[in-house]
Amino acid sequence: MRGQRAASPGARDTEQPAIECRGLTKDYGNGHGLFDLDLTVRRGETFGFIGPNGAGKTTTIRLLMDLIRADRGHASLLAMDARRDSLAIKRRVGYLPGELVQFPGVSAGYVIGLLAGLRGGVDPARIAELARRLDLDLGRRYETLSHGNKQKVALVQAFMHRPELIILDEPTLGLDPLIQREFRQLVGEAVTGGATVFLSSHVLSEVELICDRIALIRDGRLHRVGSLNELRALRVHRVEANFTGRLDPADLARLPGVSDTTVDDHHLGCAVQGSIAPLLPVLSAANVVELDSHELSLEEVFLGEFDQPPEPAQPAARR
Amino acid sequence: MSSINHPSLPSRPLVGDTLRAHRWGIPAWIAGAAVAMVAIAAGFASEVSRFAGGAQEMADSMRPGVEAMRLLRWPADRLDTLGGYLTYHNVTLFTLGLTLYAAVQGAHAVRGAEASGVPAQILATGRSRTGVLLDRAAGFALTLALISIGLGAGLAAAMAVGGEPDVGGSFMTGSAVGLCAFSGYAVGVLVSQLTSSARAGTGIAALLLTGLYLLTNVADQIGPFGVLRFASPFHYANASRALVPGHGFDVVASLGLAAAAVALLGGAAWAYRDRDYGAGLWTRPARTSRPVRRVQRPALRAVWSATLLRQRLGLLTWCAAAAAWLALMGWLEPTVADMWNDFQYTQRILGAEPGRSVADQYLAFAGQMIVPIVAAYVFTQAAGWVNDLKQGRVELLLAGPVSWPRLVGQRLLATLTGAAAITVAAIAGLTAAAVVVGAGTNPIGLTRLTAITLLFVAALAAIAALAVAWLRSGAAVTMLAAFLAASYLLVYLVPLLAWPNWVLRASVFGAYGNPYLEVPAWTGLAVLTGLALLGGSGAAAVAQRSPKVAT
Repeated sequence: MRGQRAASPGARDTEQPAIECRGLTKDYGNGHGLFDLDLTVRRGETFGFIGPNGAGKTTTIRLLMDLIRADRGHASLLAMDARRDSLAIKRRVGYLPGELVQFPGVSAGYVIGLLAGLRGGVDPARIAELARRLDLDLGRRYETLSHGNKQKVALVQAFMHRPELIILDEPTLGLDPLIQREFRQLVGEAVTGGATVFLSSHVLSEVELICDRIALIRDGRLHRVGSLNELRALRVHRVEANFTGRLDPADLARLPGVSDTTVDDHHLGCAVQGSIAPLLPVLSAANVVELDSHELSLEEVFLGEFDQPPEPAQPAARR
Repeated sequence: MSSINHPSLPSRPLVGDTLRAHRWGIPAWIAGAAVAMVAIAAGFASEVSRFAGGAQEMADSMRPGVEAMRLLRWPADRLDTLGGYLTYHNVTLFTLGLTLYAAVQGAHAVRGAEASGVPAQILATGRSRTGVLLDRAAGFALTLALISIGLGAGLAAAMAVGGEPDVGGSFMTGSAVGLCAFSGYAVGVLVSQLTSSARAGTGIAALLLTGLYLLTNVADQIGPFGVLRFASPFHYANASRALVPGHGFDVVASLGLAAAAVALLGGAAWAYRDRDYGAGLWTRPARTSRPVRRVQRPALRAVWSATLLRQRLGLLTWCAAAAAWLALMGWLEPTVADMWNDFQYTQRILGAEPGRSVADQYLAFAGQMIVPIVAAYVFTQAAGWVNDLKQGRVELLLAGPVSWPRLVGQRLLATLTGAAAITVAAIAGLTAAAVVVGAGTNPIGLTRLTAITLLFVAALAAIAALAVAWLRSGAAVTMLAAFLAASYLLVYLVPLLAWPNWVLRASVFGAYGNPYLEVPAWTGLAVLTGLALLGGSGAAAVAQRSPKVAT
C-alpha cells in the first residue's frame, strides 16, 4: 500500500486509545521490573516515557510488544490485546529496540530487506527515501557501521511501513544533531499522517521538543503523567534580588509557593512555584534595586522530582 | 607501581576474567575426557578378554585397518596394550579437538572480543596491547593446565579400570596434550590479528591446524611434503607417548612446542601493536559501495531463505569439506576393504550383516561419515540461534509479524535445507571417488542414505531447538554437545561391552543404523521421527509460552 499506512484502522477502533495498560506488572525480583502500570496513550499523540536508567522503560515497551510476558495486568494496543493479538498488532506497529542489534556478515540493506520482506508490502521508494533523509548507505556492511548509523538502520525499519503506532526505545541514541532534527521531522510527519508515537528517553530536552504528553517512571512505578503544559505549571522560577531596605525571611516563608529562601547581605535568593505576584510587594517594600527571575527547565524540574526519595504509586486522579 | 599495572607481568584481574570465561568449558572437557577414556578402557579390557589369541592377536588384526585409516589417527604403537590403544584411539583425537577449541578461543580472545567493545575499555585503563594479549594468554594457559590435569586424572582412572595403572604416564600425556593445545591457541591469536574478521581468523586457523594434523599422520607417505610435519604442533605432541610402553615424555619436543607457542604469541603481539582496533593487520581498503537501489529480494521474504543467503559462503565451505572428506573415504576403499573380514570388533560397530560384499560394507561405513558432519552443522546452527537471541536479532524479528513458532519452524527448515545440500555434496564426493577406484555404488542405498540422514538432521535440529527455546543461553549448546557425546559413546560401548542391540536405538547415531545397506530398524526410525516431531513442536510450544527475548 504505497504512501499510506500499513493498515488502515477501522472506524470503530480509532476511538479506542492507541495504548492502554491496566495494572501491568512484570516482577524480576529485588524490586526490579514494572509494577501496576496504568497508562493511556491517545490516538495521534506523541507520548514521551521518561525515566532514569533501570526505571522500567524498556520492560514496559517489551511488554507492549509481547516480547516478554506480564506477571499480571493487561495491555492493549490499537484496541487489540497485546498478547492474544500480537501478530496483528505488529503488522501495524513500528518498533525500534533499545539495544543495538548485531548482524555480522551482511549489509545494512540485507537487514532492511529481511525485515521488509517479512512484513511484506513495504514500498521500496519509502526505504530509499528514509535512507536518503537519514544519510544512510544501505550498501555498507552492517557490522562496520558506527553506533549512529546502526541506529539509522533501526529507524528506517521502524518507519518504513508507515505504521499506525510507532514505539521507539531511546530513538536518538548516537544520532548527530542534524539527524536528530530529521528524526523529529519524521515523527512530526507520522503524527500529521495520523500515527501515534510512543517513545522512551532519558533526554528530557528531546522529549520536550516533540512530545504532547509525558509520563515519568521511576523504580518500575509510574510517577506522574501530564501534558507538557500541565507539567510546565509545576515549573519553578528562581528569583534573585538585591535590595537596600530590610527583609524578614519569616515574611517570605508565609508567601504561597515561595521556598528555598536565603537572605544574605541585602541579597535574596528563593524559588517560586506558580505566580510571582505575591512576592513583588514584599520586594518593593524592601527597596529592591535589582531583580532577576528565570524559569527552571523541564529537566531541572524532573531532576528535582527524581532527587526526592521514591514514593508509592500516585493515585489515579493525579494521572 | 603495583605488579597489576606492570606491563610485562600478567594482570591478575584479566587472567582471572579469562579463567572465569572458561569456568564451564573446563569441567566439560574434563568430564568428557574422563568418560570417554574410562569407557574405552573398559571396552578394550572386555574385548581383549574375549578375543581369541588375546591382546597380541587383536592388535595384529587391527593393524591393517589402522594403517589404512592412518590419515585420521596416528601414531599407532603397541596396540596390544591399553596405553597404546588409548593413545592411538582417544588421545590423538582428543588432542585435535582440544587444539581446535583452543584455536577458536585464541581467535576470539582479543580480536573477536573487539566486537563487544570490551577490549577498548580495558585498553583505556592504560594496559598495553601486549599486556592484554599476555593476560589473555596466561589465563588460557591456566585453563589448559586445569584441563590437562583433569585429562591426566581421567587417563589414570581409565588405565586403572583397564588393569594397567600408570599415573605418571597419564599426567605426562595430559601435559603433552595441553601444550599442543596451547600452541593451537597461539595460532588462533596470531591468525586472527591478520584477518579481516575474527570469524575468518577462526576458520583459517581451524583449517590450518586440521590440515597439519592430517599431514602429520601421513608425513612419511607424502614424499618431500613430509617435511612440513615440523611445522605441525601434532608432530611434537606425538613425540610424547608416555602411556605407550617403550616411549616416554619427550622433553625436547615439549619445550619446542612451548617455544613455538611463545614465538607465535610474540608475532601476534607485534601484529596487535601495529593494527587498528577492530580491524585485521591485512585489511583491504573499503570499496566504494554502489548506491543500493533495491534491498528487497525474494530470498529475504522468509527467515529460512534469508538465513541460507546470509550463510551461503559458509554453507559452500561445509559442502566442499563434506564432499572432500567422503571422496577421501571412498578413495581409501581398496586399501581398507581387504582386512575387514578379519576384524570382528569393527564389524560389530558397523552392524553389517555377514554375506555383504566388503566393498558395500566399506562404502556403507564411509557413508556413515556424513553423520558427524551434519551433526556438527546442526551444532553450529544451534550456537547461531543462541547468538541471535544474545545479539538482539530475535527481538527485531519478533517485533515484526513473526511468531515464535514460525521462527522456530523457519530455523528448522533452514537447517534441514543446509544439511540437505551438505549431504548431497558429500554423497556426490563419495560416489565420484568410488567410481574412480572402481567400486560400484548402489543408487537405492545412496537414496536411503540421503533420506535417513535428513531424518537424523530433523531429529537433532529439533532437540537443538528445544534446548535453545528452553535454556535460551549457551548452556543449550553445551547440553546438545553432551547429548551428542553420550549418543556417540553409546555406539562404541554397545558392541564393546556386548550390551543388547536395542540399547543402541536410544542413541541418535544408533537409531540412524546403516542406511546404505539396509532400511534402519523400525525402532530407530520411530526414535528419529519421534524426536523430530516432539522436539520441534515442543520447541515451538516452549518458545511461545515464555517468549523472553532478553538473556
